[in-house]
Amino acid sequence: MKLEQEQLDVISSYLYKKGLVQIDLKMEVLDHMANSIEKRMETCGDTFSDAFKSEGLIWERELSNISNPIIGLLFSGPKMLINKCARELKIYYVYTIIGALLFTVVFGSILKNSNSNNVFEFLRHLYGYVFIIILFFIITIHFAIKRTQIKSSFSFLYKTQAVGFGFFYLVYNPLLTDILSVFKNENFTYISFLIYNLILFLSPIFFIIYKQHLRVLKKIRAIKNVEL
Amino acid sequence: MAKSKLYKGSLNTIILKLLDEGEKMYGYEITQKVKEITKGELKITEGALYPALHKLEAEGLLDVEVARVDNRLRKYYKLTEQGVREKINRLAELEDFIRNMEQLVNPKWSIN
Repeated sequence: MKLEQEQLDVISSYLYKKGLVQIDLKMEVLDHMANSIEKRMETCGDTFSDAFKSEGLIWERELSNISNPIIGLLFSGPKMLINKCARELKIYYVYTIIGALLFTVVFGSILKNSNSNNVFEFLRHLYGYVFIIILFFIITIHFAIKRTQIKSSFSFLYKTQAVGFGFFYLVYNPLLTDILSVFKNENFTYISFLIYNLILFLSPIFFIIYKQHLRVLKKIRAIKNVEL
Repeated sequence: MAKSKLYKGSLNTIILKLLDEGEKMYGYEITQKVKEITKGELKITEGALYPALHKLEAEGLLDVEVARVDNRLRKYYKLTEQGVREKINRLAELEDFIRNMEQLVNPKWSIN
């Protein structure tokens, strides 16, 4: 017994109310719920309403609203979405931390032994301009994602990271502020330099997440006449 | 997984094995297949299945294909080449584990 369009719309509205609007996850849960409801109606003789209620109870926990410190406590959403995003981020963060640590140790030791103020001044400008370029890309990608008009788990993840870290490129920009003042010979510390490098090494995350969002879209747009 | 926490560590391997046999499968189909093979003894919950599928996809072991079926979108999973290789390794690991557990639970004593 296949569900009618109106019945699928009921499931879709339920998922929307639960905050599961990201197409990659929503289509999966909707299909799973629809399959399960169809089976209940066939084998147990349940009405759609009864089968839908039972199925809703099963999914209640996975769709409950949670937040996660890895993503940022400002953001909440269905458990299924938040946990998926947190898992993705953990991998990216590990690579970021390793890359930044290695760079800081190697390049930092060279810098520490350098007494040239010109080198520090050059680096201050380099980091400053690079941070501005990264910020420009973050904003550009944000609008590019908006233009796709489709929400995916990756567009959600992008939003959390862009809001969370976007302002770092301004606040810690050595051309605009002097918070860490690492680019002065006498002020150089590994910890401050590491913070700059963490911010720098974080930047590929934005591009990777954007690419993942486009990958999801490509798979879906490959289907003709799809309503999103 | 409703039946036992003991199965939890093997879920990814179970998924890889099923996908190797079934070429491409969707989430609900996997739960039903496991239920059918184990005659209802093992039930994979939604809360365990989808995080496992997403993790395997993120690791590059699974690829995704989307199709329109019965007026809705369906997400099919299939093994990537890396997934096929990993399945062999993980199955060998699981078989070793089962063998070791069997020896621990039912030790065969012998006089050498």
